[in-house]
Amino acid sequence: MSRLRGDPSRWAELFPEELVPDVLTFIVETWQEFDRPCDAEREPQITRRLRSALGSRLRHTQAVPARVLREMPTDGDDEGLVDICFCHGYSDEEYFGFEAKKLNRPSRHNADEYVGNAGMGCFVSGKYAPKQKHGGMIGYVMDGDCARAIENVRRHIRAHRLPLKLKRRSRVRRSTIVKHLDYVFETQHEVDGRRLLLHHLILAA
Amino acid sequence: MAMSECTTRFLERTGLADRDRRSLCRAQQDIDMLNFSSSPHAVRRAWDLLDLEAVYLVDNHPTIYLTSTARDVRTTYRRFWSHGVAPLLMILDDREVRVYSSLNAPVRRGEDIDAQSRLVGIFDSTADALELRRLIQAVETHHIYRHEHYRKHFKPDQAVDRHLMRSLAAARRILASGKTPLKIDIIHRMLIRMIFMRYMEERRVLNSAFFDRLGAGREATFAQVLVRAPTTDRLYRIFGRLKDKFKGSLFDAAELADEREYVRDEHVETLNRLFFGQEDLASGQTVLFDVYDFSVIPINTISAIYEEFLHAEEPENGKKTGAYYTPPRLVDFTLDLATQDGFDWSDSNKRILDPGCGSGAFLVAAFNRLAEAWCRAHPNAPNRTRLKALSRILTDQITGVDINDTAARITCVSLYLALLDFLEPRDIKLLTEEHGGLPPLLRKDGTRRADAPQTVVKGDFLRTIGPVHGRAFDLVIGNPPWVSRTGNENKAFDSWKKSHPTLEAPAKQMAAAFMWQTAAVLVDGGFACLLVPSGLLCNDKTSSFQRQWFSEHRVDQVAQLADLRFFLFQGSDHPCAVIRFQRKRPSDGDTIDYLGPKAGPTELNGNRITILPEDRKTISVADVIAHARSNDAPLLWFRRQWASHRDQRLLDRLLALPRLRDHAGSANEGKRWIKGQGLQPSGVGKASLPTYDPFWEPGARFLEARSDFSIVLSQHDCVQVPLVFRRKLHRRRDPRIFQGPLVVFNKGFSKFAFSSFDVLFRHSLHSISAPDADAVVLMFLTACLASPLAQYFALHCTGKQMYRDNPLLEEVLRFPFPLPDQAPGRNADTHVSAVGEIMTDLAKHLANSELRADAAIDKAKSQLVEHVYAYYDIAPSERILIDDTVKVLAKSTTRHPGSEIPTLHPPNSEQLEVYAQTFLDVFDRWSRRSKFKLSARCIRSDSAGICVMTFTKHFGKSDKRYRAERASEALDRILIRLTELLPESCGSLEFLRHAKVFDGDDLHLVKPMTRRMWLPSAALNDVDEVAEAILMSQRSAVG
Repeated sequence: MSRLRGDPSRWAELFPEELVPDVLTFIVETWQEFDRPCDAEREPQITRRLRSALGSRLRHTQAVPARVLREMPTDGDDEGLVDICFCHGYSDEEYFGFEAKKLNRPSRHNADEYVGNAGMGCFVSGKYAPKQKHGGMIGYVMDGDCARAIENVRRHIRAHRLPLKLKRRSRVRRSTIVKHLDYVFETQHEVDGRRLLLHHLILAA
Repeated sequence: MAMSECTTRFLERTGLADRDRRSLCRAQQDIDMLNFSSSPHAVRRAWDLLDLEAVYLVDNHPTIYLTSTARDVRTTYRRFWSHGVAPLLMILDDREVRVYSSLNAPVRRGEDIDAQSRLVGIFDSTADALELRRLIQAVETHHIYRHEHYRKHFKPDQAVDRHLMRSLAAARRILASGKTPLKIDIIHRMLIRMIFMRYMEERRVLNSAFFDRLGAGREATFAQVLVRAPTTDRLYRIFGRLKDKFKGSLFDAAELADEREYVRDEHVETLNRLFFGQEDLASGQTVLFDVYDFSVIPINTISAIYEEFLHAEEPENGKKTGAYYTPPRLVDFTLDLATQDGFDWSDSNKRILDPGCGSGAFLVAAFNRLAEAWCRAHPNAPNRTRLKALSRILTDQITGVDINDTAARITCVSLYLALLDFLEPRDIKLLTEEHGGLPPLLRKDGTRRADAPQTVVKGDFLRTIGPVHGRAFDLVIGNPPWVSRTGNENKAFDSWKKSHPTLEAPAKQMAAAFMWQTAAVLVDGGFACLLVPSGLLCNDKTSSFQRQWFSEHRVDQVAQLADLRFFLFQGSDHPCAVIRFQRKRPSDGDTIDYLGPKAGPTELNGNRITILPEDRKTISVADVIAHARSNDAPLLWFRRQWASHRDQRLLDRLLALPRLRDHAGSANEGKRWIKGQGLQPSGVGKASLPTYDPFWEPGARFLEARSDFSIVLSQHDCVQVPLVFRRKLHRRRDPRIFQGPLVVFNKGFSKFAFSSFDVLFRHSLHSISAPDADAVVLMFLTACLASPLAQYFALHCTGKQMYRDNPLLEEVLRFPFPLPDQAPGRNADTHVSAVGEIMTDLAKHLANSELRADAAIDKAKSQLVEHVYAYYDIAPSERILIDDTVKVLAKSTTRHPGSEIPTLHPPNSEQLEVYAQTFLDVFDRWSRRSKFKLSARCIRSDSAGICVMTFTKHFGKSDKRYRAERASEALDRILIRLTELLPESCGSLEFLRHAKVFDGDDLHLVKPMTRRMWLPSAALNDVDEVAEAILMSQRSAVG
């Protein structure tokens, strides 16, 4: 726990938008240098490699004040672990967590899994990011067709508006905070009175 | 006593007038506000005897005594020095302030009071006000004890406790030598009685009437009685009279009669000379015991020193050097830790136990707190009521157990002294005349009578003792006996082990048995706080004990004091830890508050144990048990000792890699590589042990441990096998240990070399040998072990420099060493090959050179380290951590008093700038999208020992990114501002010296002027903390 005293609110403008754009950009840039997976590689294995690449790059570049941890239990329960967890550098408290899923696999589009209980559902149930106002989904698009992947995801989200606790009249939209990046989207949710912004990184394998 | 005008003016001029009662006692009744660790009873006594007008406290410790009415400076100083609680005395008058140190030689008869550096300085009350202010600031930051100008005035070795211990040891030597040497136990009993007499006389409890009845005359004193007739008969009549007067368990009649048989007149003459003569036994100069004023020496100091008597009486201690005892500050530290959650000292139902009480130091400290609490709760109690209540505390609330008869008796005397110290002479008169003397305290071994005393039980705590066992104590404290393989203690351990065969206690460690047994006597909700050897946490064979014990007990605090071991126990090496625990199993998520204090200025002055925020960590109990399960329990404690948050991240990453032990093991483990230790010759003292024949061919090469080998062995490094090895060997060694290719390294983990050929070496060297196919990987391993990374690992993950001088081979084998296909860095094979080429070239170079080629070795080392870092994917920011550890921290661990401690050196201007630039560089990177930037301004005060680094937020870039000042006015302005922001600090640097405060567009970091606080690695940790505070403050709902 920090030993700092006083009010740091005037220092917030040094970290515009809480550095969320920096984290999203950092992941996309890391992906660009990443050894692309094939469908035979299981999602946990891809995520493990990505996590390791993010960690190494973050240590070298110090791009954001965080560290990338391995899967972290959120409630002492071994089941349901955040795939990629950016934690604060000092106390290890969770800062930004991501759940990763494959999309556009040869046999199926997999958008249902992306949107379902083990995907976005983890955030809207409060299991992941229970105190945060941001969370993230990463889709590994196995056939590289990101436009089709996001369309499938968009359709499934529309179909599950209620269980996904989407904010009224909101929809899947292009990211409003990282406009320079392709295939980064966001959805707004209202989880137990708390507003949650989910960022969707659609990454072509 | 009302405060004089000059003292009032002094407080105003120096800024002390603003301090609240937590830090400044202005009247004697303010002492009631002090917490118990501030020695309030001792301060109260000093207040009267030294005519004090104010007491200034730093870190709750009485630090400066102020008086303006010292009638006789010599007497005042003698009492101040004998008191030994506060390090500084200020004697004020209208014109000047004289400052004296108690950490200096006592004043001897005829000696100038201002000599021997006792006088710290004379200041003009008006003209030197600013200088005095700085002096007080230096006291608040503890900088004064290492300040170039002042440090010569503070010599802990000259403090009253160590001085008295030396005097007693010298007296023992004299009485134990000569024509008719006395037995040590008799000497100790006589010395204890002599000090008791001196104490009672100087407190005016024993007056001329007492001595008159011995026929010494109406005006007689103890000294006069002895001087007139220094005979055994006279002395034992005095002792007998003392026994009759005070009764209780003070002196044993049979013991007195027994001693009388051995003590001759010449011994009494010697005692007389020692206590009242002018001969100094230690140095041959004048005066031994008359430098002391026993009326003011705190009783806990005396009882602690008596512990040294117990060590001296143990037969095996004849071989050991140095005398030691549990210093009062360690006793207070343990008690503070034990009771930090609000133990109610005024509750007369609370019961406290010391299961191995020794000389009673812990019990005396506990009694002092209980008695202080009672007196505060009953300020107007009549004498008789107070006498009864304090006696009841002694008989009903405190229990000590010791198997040693002398210990039990010394504890009784110590507790009596503690009781008498709380009583006025008129109370003591009541005690002896109306209450039948002191209450009996001693319960002899095997006593079954229900009405027998229960305060000091002579017996074995590990066996069931009626009054002790049965979950009866709210607090168990103490320093249980440490390992002993001889005598009664060993029998006690064996007997305990026999009845508890399933409980782990490594190396027959008595303290471990006490840890197990303690839970059985705790009430639900009660706490135990024991001082135990660090080895119980840090020894390599303790994992199964830790797994079992931590699973059965709820441990919530561990204070690892290994770094202070040479400060706490001067002349002896006792790394120790304090463990606080309860009688219950831990729950999920329970954590341990881990404290790892380091030698700092307060240790330099032999004063308090101070814990910096950086030395406070949290460890989960589950983590302890998990490490213990994987046989790595010590590793967990090692890596919490010095490692910062950033270090923890790097260590987490490194320790997730395969370890050297995954590839290397003993010859019979069947691993890829063989580890081993060198040859040991059969020799003196090993005659009864089996011996083994040499196994090598004639002409074999041998590497001497003291040889200056490095990186690659050449033939020039080797010699013929010494004769001593050619006869017989002490232990059997597998010849493969010596077969090249191998890497050889010394026990100190400071010299490493790869050898492509077979080589023999002695047992102070270790090796790891491998098949020929692994030669290049072994070269790479050599490069790794010789790199700063391995030294970094050694500091954070082995016992080296924390607990013992050399890491164990098992600890070295924990070194993370992935094979090339497991390495985290890219192109691992390339780096391994490159290292192979560099080392092969170096080997060729060395083979062709008769002389050591230092330049070639240095060049190779600098190339090798780059490949090692690349292999482990070490980032530039991680190199900063490694460099700081190797260059500064590793040279500052477990230092001896008087030695250099680089972490405590003041940082120079350049180092402060590097700190600021490191902070700014990282912050700039994180805030790159912001329109705002930071600049830094450093204000240092060398006299106050404090530095303030202020980071300021600007729109756009600042003209000057970093500025440094030495202006004292600027420091004062900042301190005034910080006092406004943190009003609870009252402006004292004590509360501001580790402040980190956001103030609008400014961020002030206030830290002591010590190198450790301003390392580049400290900047990295600080910038993490600042960034997190900013980001966490933004955690609110999305708009």
